[in-house]
Amino acid sequence: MRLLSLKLANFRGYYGEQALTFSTDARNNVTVINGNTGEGKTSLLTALIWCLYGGESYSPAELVNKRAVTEAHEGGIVQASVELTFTHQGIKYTVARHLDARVRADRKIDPANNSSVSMFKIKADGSFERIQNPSGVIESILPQNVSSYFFFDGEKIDEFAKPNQEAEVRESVRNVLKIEVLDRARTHLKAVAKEYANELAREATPEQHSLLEEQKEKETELETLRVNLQDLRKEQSAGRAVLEEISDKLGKLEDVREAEENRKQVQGVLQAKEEERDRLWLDIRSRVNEGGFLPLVSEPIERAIGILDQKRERGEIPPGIREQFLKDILEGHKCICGREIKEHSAEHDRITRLLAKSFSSELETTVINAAGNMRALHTRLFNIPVAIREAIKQRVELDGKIEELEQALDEIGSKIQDHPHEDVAALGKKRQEIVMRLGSISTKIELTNQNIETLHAQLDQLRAKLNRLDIKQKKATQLQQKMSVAYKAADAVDSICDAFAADMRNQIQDQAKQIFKKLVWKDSQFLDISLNEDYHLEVFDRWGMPARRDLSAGERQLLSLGFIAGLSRVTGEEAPLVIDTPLGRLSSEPRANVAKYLPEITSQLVLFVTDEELHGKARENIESCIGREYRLVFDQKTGSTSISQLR
Amino acid sequence: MNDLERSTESTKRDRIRVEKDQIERYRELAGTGSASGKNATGADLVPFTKLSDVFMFAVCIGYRIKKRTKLDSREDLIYVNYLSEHTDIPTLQSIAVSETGGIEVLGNMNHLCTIAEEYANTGFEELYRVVSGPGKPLVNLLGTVVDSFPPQAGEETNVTR
Repeated sequence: MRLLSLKLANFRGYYGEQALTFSTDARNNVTVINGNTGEGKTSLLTALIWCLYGGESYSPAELVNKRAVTEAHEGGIVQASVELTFTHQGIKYTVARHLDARVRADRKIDPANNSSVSMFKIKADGSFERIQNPSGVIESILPQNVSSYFFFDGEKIDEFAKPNQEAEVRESVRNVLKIEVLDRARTHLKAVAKEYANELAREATPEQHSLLEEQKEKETELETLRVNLQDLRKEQSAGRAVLEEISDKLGKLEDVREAEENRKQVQGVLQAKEEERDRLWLDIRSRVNEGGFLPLVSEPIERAIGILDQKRERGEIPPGIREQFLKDILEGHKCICGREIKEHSAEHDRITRLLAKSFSSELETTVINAAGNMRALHTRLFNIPVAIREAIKQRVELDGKIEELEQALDEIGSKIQDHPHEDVAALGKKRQEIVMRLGSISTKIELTNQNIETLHAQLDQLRAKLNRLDIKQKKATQLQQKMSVAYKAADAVDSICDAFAADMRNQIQDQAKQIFKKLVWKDSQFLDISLNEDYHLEVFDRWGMPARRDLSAGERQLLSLGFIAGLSRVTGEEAPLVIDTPLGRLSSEPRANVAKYLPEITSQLVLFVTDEELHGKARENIESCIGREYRLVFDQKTGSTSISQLR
Repeated sequence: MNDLERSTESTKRDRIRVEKDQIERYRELAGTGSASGKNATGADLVPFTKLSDVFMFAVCIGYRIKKRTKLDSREDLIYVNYLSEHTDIPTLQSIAVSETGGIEVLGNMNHLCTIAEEYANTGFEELYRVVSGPGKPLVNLLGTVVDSFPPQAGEETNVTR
């Protein structure tokens, strides 16, 4: 979606017809609308959203311009309307929504009808083609449930960066990436499979019946495990949030601030070392798998090389002389040196014997390659143990370091728990309990995952058994097959969904990190961003410690913005970013930084700003990207706003 | 066509086969079975990532034990071309050449694979016993590998810390 123009008529503070055109230039991709508090910036954002999606949350009194109401006679109709023109995938559209209101004697208004919307495709020749289902088409271009990630109030945008927002983050990712579509497909397929199973049960033989019952029980068990897993993850998320709070509280108490800082640092280093150790194990496994078996067979490798060498010396190995070459000499009765070779001569016999030994080129290549590869293996026999021993040595050293760090962490923890100040000790003990509890939850999550996998495998086997049964009734056979296909399709969608979500999550994480690091002005303070499999959005400080709770309001805003921009990049949705008051929470230096990089993160950017937001260095940084600029002019006398174009 | 080439006519093979009752355990060791342990990290990692690697270890352990066992009930495990050209195939070729004392087997993939499969048939039981014994599978595998190295003075031999 690329916005072209917006027209308002008697909409909120905008009296009469007002219009603006958005910049669509690739380089000057920013449209700036300047307006101070109360002058109508937010109304423009509301106009955009209302035009596309309507909204019963708005009453006519909130939408229809008051001046227009005052000027209308009693019983008259005042219409508030918004018209938006945009392109999407090369097609130009215009959407117009209006609301009629009847004026009462007391100058209040009643809706004359519900808001109505019309949509047209604008063809190349300028003619209009009406679209029959505007809501459906708009939904397919930019679904309402994801529009808030593209059109939003900059000051309220820090939701994603707040603690315990995993559900919201997860929802946004699933909405933008349309994972819900896959979910619905999965649910539907399972429902269809269950229907077939129920129908089959009525036609089933006793053996089939028994298997179907077993299948049903396992399906129920699987569902229970899934619910348990969700609950465990929620509990885990809540536990982590409490740990963060405790760390926060302790960090604010003077007595223990230093110890708590120290603990965080040690924890950060420990985490980094544990991750290093995990990577080392991966490396060790890789080395073991890729030839770790060779020392077990050093003897046959050496013997085979010996056999090949012997045979080469005895002339039994392909002499490397091509068959055709020898045939040509025999048929031509002439050597390459020009000498005549007569039949039954010694030379002729020798060449004939060589021909009998020569191999086809394919076989010759196999033998020659085998010899070369075996020698290469022999060299690796010495290198492999060296590399693996070195990796083990590093791992052992790391284990030692990790042990020391764990000990240090325990000591600090004990000091806090044994602190004379009661509150500190209580917090320390509570933390210890939660850490233990989280450990137990992690184990349960792992076990539950394993049980889910086992159940899946058992269900696969059951279904295979059902398929193999010798079914005499045709109807039962057909139902059996249909049920089997439905289950397989549901499982396939399941795998696709999980793999897709994981891949997209990683991509969003990478994009969000790139964007956040550009936007934030003290990027040296922040090491990394992660969006883990629980949809926990986290930023790590330079010590590798989670730092989301330490973010200022402005930094949270930028983290959320980074996440949203990352989302929009990954989804590939061609949609503009329309932000109301994007820089309000930032002081001048970060504001200037954000103004510099914001135009880069989207193809079309619309900003509603106050004068204070975009002046000085911030204005300077964004100036060259501005394609269109407007000022909202508020008339104190009439209480209405008009749009004045600046460039 | 010479004798060697004549004998290659029925020598093609495109799958590696194992005993039917071993398949599920092969998959278990390679993390592709019902309990894949896909979320494991560190020393809890599944010991192998590919079925071909499990097979190669099984072959080599079987050779070490010096026993071949004919397959009773065959099931396809992997395609032959999943074996690596520079490590797996030359290893099997070395074993086959050493076993037969000749190079004819190099032109007979069927025979080469049969030798490998029979060694693997023996070796797999030992591999599974060691890897899934007490302790962590990857650590157990590492122990077996390190034990096969020529000794080095003063080396850290305990890999199970």
